[in-house]
Amino acid sequence: MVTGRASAVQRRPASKPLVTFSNIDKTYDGEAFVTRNLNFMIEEGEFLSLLGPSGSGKTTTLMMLAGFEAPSSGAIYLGEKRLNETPPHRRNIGMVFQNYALFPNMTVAENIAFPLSVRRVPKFERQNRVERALEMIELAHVAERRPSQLSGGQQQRVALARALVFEPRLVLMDEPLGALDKNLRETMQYEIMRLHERLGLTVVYVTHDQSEALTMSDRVAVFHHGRIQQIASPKVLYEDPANAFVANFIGENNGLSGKVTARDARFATLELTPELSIRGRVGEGISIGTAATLALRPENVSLDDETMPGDIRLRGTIDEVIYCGDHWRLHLTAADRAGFVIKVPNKTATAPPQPGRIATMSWSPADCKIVEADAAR
Amino acid sequence: MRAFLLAVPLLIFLAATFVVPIGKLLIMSVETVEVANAFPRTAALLAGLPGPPALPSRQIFEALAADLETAQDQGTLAAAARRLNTYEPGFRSLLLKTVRQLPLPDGEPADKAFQRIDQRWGEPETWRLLGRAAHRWTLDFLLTAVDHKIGAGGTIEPVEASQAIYVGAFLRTFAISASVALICLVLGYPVAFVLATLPARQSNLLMIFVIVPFWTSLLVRTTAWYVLLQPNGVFNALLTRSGLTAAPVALMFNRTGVLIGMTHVLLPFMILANYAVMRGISPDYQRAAVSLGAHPALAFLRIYVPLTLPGIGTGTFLVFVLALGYYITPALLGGAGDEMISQLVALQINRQLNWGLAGALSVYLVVFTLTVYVVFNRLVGVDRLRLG
Repeated sequence: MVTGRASAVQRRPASKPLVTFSNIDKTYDGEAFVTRNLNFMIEEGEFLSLLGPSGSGKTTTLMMLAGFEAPSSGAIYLGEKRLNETPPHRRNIGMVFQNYALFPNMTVAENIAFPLSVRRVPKFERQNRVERALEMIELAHVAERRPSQLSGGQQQRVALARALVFEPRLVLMDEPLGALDKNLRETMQYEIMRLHERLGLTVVYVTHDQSEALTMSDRVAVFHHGRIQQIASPKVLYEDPANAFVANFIGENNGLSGKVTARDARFATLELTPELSIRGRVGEGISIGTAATLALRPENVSLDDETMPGDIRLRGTIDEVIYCGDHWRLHLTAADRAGFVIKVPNKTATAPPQPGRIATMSWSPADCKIVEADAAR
Repeated sequence: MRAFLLAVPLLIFLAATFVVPIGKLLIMSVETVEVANAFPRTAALLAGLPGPPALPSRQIFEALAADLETAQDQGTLAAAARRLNTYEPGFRSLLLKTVRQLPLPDGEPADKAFQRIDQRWGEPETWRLLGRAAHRWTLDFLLTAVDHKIGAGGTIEPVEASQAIYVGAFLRTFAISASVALICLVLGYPVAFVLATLPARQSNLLMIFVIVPFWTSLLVRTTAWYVLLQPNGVFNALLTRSGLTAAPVALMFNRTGVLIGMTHVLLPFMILANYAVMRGISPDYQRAAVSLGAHPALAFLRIYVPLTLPGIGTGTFLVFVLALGYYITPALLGGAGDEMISQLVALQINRQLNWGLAGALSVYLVVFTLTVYVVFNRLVGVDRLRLG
């Protein structure tokens, strides 16, 4: 599930920020905020994904960076330069659109040459650069075709080449793989990652597909209700979610909610029912008496495993068993509290769990976290 | 098969009201039966007559005398006289004058008697024209409609300048239609753009202003302009009272009036044709071009306008073709020099009762329109023709 990228783990913020969002608000009517109080930086060479459900403000954020939407307040900087007043065509930011937006009245080569011709690049150099760009995406043989004669994946690569050919400092991608089928999407993910690595690009990538964001990004910014809930590397995001929204949105989660009854520096206790309390690492903003949510990944829970003495143990009834190929998905009720979800690896040697059986769930306290309930707006 | 049967009533309707009348009118442009019907014996003899123009034999004179009498009794004489008059003004009076003197006195040879009644019966040209008119099939109408005729020598030659009116009218029709199409494009394209780019609520509201005139009767709209454009009308009152002009400006009974009226009537077609195409263009194209570094105006010219070419083509084609056949608007708002070809067709049918010439004029109009259609189909494709 969590692949992450080697570079994401190794990268340290040594390089200077390329893009800075400073107190960006966006509102159309002065009351409802599309984005609220955005403060973040994008490092040079970084691959940052903006992830969130639709209407969470991620696309608006991208459009403000591209210049098609103006912030209501706050400032955006590209390097040292304030970007707010620069019209989009002077920003020198490459952009790839969800439906590619290849110009249907031009050939592939003309499409790729377009940003060069509007920059008055001499003809000879223009041809050279178009040829190199076509080689880079391995589509030199379709240069004279119209975009409509290409497959979806080919169109996507042409759109990439067109956004990169004028060597922008920053490339924005607005759900660029949304229109492709699953297998092609995965191929294209690696293609984009390869280009990012090879050309040292800085990429801002909008997606609502969490696995795409986790696979490709150095860092992911999770949007909800116009605010960034957490901005961190995929590993931190998955293993150390900042709040209930992040825990539930990224991957699967036992998002059971309750009340905090005790806490110390490292651990807190969450009361689910009067009979059932669970201990876990303490998240930010947790204090005694407040509502909170359990962040416990289903794959971290073992079934009837007696080998780890330090684990938390909980007996429950198996309500439902779902076969998922490589694993079983089990729904359990413990101490009258339904809704526990666990994943059991499917090994041919073991017999499948039976519904109605009493079983013991166990997990390490370090794998369980008590986080703030779904953040208020 | 069942689906076809469902369409049968429509096909019958179309055949009865559309195909048959038009076909008949087009046939009329090459067919002339009045003289052949009225003078069957003369026609038969003249048809058998070979080549060079000369005075015909006495036998034909006699046949004509007999035919004239029968024709008058049967009431077919008037039509034949009117028909012959289109070849040579005065033919009608010649026939009527002759028929009044019939029957011929006994003993006088028919050819002598005819020439005594009027000396024109002694001229070969008179008989040549009679012979031409007696043919059932003729090219005369088609030639007349382009200001040509078959001269005395049997060759095609232009008519006298004073009678040459049809080529001018065709050119005028073409010029007016082209001007209207161009004005509609210049006025309609920006409106279509605004309608296609505004949010749906505002665009729907504005659309009503386009659609309502579209639904209003053509005659009502033209009459409204008739009222507005008069020398004492609303426009001139505004112009003179505001001091822009000292005296009323002639806005109707001239080309200005025709162009204003026809542009207003046809503008919705241009707007709707372009709107239909523009609405289907994703705003991402414009954004993509701008993000790639093109100034918005350049992006509009190089990306947006080429994408709307089907709309421009469709709108211009529709307006131009519809304008070619316009009748009421130029008739009400135009002056003496603004007659379009449809008006001349109507004139031939209503006043001159010359269905043949009306048919011939229509043939050219139909052929020209079809040519425009074929060219349009090649350039744009008729399958892309849609309105909203």
